Amino acid sequence: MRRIRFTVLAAMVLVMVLLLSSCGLAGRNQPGDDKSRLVHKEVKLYFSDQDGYLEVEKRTVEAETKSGIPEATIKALINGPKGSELSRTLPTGTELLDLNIKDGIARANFSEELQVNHWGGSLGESLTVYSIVNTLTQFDEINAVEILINGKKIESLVGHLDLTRPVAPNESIVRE
Amino acid sequence: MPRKFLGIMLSVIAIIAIWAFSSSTGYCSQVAVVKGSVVNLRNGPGTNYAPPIGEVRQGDRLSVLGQANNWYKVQTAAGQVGWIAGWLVKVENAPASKEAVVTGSVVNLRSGPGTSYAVVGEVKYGDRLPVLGSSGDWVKIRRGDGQAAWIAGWLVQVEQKQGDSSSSAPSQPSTGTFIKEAVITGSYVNLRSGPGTSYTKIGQVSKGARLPVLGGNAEWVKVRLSSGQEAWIYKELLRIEQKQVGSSAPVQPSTGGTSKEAVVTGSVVNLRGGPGTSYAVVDEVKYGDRLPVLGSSGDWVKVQRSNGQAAWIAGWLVRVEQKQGDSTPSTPSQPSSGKVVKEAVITGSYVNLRSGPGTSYTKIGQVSKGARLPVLGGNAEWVKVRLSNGQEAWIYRELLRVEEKPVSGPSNPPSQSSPPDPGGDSSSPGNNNDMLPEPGSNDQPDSSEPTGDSGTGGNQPPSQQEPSGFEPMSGWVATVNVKAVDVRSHPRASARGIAQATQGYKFPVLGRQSSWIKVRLPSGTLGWVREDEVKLEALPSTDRDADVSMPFSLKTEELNKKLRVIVKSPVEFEYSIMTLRDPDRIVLDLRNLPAGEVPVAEDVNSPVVKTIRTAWFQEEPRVARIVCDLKKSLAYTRCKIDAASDGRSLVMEISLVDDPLKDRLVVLDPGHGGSDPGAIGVTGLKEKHVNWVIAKECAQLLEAKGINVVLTRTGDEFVDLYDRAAMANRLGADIFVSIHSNSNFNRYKQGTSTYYCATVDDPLISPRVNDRIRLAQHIQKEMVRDLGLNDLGLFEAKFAVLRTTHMPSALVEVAFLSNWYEESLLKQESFRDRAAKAIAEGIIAYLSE
Repeated sequence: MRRIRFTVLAAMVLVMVLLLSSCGLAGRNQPGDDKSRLVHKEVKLYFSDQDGYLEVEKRTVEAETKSGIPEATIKALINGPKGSELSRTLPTGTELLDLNIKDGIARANFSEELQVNHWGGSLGESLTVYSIVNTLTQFDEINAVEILINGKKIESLVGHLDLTRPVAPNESIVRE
Repeated sequence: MPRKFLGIMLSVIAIIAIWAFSSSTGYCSQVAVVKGSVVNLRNGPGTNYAPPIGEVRQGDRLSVLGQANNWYKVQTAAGQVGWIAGWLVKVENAPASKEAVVTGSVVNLRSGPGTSYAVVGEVKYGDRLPVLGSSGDWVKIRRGDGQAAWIAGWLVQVEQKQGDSSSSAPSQPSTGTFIKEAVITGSYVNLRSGPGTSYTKIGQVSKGARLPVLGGNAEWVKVRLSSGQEAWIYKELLRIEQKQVGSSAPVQPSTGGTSKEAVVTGSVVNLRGGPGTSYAVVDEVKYGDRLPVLGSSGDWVKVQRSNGQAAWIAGWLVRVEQKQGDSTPSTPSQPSSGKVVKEAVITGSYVNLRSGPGTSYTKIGQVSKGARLPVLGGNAEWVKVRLSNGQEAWIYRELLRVEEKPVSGPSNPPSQSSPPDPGGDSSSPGNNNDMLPEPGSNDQPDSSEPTGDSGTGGNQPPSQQEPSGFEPMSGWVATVNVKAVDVRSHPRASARGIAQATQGYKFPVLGRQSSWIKVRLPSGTLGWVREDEVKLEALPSTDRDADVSMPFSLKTEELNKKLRVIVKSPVEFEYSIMTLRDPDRIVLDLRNLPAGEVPVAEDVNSPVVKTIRTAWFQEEPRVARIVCDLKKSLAYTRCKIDAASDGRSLVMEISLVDDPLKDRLVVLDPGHGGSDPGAIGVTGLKEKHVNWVIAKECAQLLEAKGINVVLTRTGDEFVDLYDRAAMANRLGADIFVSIHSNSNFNRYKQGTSTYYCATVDDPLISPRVNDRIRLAQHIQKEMVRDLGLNDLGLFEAKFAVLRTTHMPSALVEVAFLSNWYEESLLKQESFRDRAAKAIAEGIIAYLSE
């Protein structure tokens, strides 16, 4: 009996050691806290113009690694345009909870404010969805975007656009 | 010491895992009867659990406690608990005395005796179910969970259960029961709905096929098709054989009794439950695999699978060799040297296959360039080949070259990564080694067949091995039973979605590959849907009308104010229909037809159609076009297409109406509702309310014109977007119009806009993209004229209700609730009435054009 208890305990210790050592390995690949090593990149943010089309505002965003740039870009998009001619496309209070990129699909997980604070309408919805999708697909590694709310798939943001599958960018809603 | 420690640790983990697993499953009512003479009991599910902890003998009955992989956790009469190999026991449910052994590959269990009852589960080939009773052709059985359910009687074999008593006397191996089978001896034999040539032809079956005999008279034999349907065949075109069933009983491995081996020569070959393609696929083997031979029947070889079970394989896809070495059948042996086979490599682009050596013989199919077929013989001008379905055919010699190919196994043991057959008969992409179903065999390489690895030639392994084992099905329909399904280009989740279909939509089924169902879209395009998203049902026999002996033909039938155009082809074809104006005409495009003459339509003398013109419209891929020039405009003409489920024939019925608005159905969709208020106006006006009032008024205006109208909601209730589209699809509506009020973050935005979806790569949408745009144009034009707001124009958008409606559809955004002025208009009854009238006028203008 004692022997079994010992082996179970030993097994748990070994598992923990393995877990810790793998964390250590992963940690070695992460950059240090040195601020000078931040990555900067000029990106395109798609906001709404007066006529209900998307227009590009260029902005330089920064992140700790190159792979953090898309997330930093969406956070800048949430904060709205700097130019007074353009309007925000995401409701205030919206947070980006998570952004995963796999096989060309970005899975953007937003807080519920994106949906519950939204002003609605076919135009309103199209501008919000395609500002996110067109902004993210400027990156080579992203071809389409899946929008989630609190980690859950949604049929539509406010009842028009089909969001059950990844959305490809839409150039027809963009004005140069 | 560390090694010992690790071993102890692993076994502790294993025991915990086994305990956790076995405790969660209830097998208390099952008994495992030992089949091997002396069988080891082990500590865990695998031979790596050594040494054995005990022995049991043939005929011993062990209580089943659990299962993992192919092993059972059992308890002996003496109380000892251990694991035993699944292939050395037969598991039975204790009380029932009859068992139904499943002979279909995957078979539905239903709540009652008929396909109209709900599916309550499924069972697989070889599953054994205690029989509780029967009704007609249906057998009532007990499921694993103890519940009763029904299964189709023609997809099971009912057997007397062996070893009923708990005696431990060794029982004899199953002798099984005998059933009668019809073995087709004529080359292409018609299947008829009754015993006589006056009965409808319901299909065909090719030589060598085996069908269970149900009865008959002096001249005709009644058989059961693999679809479950019954058919009659003229007796002189078949012979009746007695077949032993229950031959799938486990065979004890390593008996050393077999001295012959079948070496697989096809790249991926199906193993079946019996000697013929009408039997279910039970497994597959790869090029170079070696299987002990147990016997043969006709062209089929009975082999032993790696799990000890017996199965059948097509004789022309293996080479039977005397076994080398001793009794280690699973060891791959070295390639045998020196043997060569002749192969015909097709050099013509589309080459006819004929039933005999000459053009006067029936064309039985076509084969494309680069295909390789084993040569059986020939004369100076014609070469006789074996098709992948086992059939023989003749090809004109100048359209091929004959190559000698050495027959040898790969030098490495067969595995997932072994190279594909560098030649073989893998010309037909996809399910090349699978035979096609009766009725209506077809050796035509299906160019639309999805191909994971199209590799003929080339030695690199396939980049992404497509699971083979395509199982053709005919006479089945798949009904969408989730909100919406994606129809994909290939049988995998990552494949491109080519169309969406909503709940209740019915697809004709072409076959199955693992958990994917191959279906036909209304355009004729082929695609794949996930099995768990559809319900499979057998079609009534009247829905099937296949006839492979017919060449591609075009016939017309004139009826009162109607013209029927009937297209029949020996092979599956895809079709699409579109309408063109000035002059008004209906265009039917047919794809994948065999090369050759386009049949010229007979002269028509119809009040509906002026002329019918036919031509090859395009090469590569080949498209035959049939154009019907109309006597009256499209508004007064109705066109209905009815395609046979086997994809080889269709009927297009063109008729006239007196009034363009007659027999029309419009589905109006008031946006949002219930818990979804839609947009909220600047002073609080709810979009769902505005939409409802306008839609209701619009419906009244349309009904006053004699148009049938259905609303997607009956009041202030929430209706899912997909359900709205599905409603229109189910009803077969002529058009679908969604009514909305707009909103924007920027409150200055004003105006009217109309949206449509024109996804040209979706075959459910693409043929009528022009009509979709035309509908949106008419509505927008009337709205702008009657309401006088800003004309924002038309927008293409992938809105859920537009994308999933199969008829022309549009979504109108009347005005902006987010704008002070326009919200004040939307509050006025007179403005809403004008909007309703404008939408109705747009719809009427569209329908009258």
